[in-house]
Amino acid sequence: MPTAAELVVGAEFADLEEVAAFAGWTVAVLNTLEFVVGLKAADGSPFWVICEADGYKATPPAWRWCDPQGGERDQLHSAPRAGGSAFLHDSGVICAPWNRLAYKTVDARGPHSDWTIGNWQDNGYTGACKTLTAMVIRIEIELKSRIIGRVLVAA
Amino acid sequence: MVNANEGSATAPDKDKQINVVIGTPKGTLPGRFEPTDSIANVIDYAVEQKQLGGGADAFELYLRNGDDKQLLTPVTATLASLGVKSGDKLILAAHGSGV
Repeated sequence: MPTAAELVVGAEFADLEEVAAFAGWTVAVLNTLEFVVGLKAADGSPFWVICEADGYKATPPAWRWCDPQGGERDQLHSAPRAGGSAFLHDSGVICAPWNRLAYKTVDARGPHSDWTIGNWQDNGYTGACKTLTAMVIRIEIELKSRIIGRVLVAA
Repeated sequence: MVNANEGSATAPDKDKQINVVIGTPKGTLPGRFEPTDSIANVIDYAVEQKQLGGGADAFELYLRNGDDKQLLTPVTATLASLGVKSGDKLILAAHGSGV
């Protein structure tokens, strides 16, 4: 029997695939709760982000920068550098209430100890970003408008 | 405003109408508009047709040019004044600022 999260992801996924085809994203499904989206930044450089949707929508999904296969998650060389963006942190964390990793209780890099994860849909900063497709659209917009390269990693 | 599912009450000149497809948080949506329609008209249409929560103020509209995206602003501007033409792809994005 599918979990509640699997049912919600399944219900939203057709919309996501439709917009992906329209917008030129790549989507690779890893399992019923994980998929990788390929996006291009303003300079044409590719980035991949994996959605880990276990617990969705009781809790937000985790969005992690990764390689095209969904591996090497949370490696800085896979993350965009946005020059002080409030959204794309140089720590590699996408800072928004709809990203589980923004919560310090979940991830030590998370900037927010002042947000309640179970309240993410009512957080004013979430706005209308409450579907998986809305989240990917927002991530792509930020990549297109703010990206200035990849996070620099010391050799 | 005219859309694919409604006739026009003002007998618009179909040759001048602008046919676009809008990518939204709930899939894609075709729309047919007058050049004098505003960006706000398009956002309202998409929010209503797709029953998007949060209201029109929760969204912004982008024009997709290849790999680039152009924010269509101000929302009071007309489609024609911002260079939107038939065949263009638009993206409706929910505001979602990071902090």
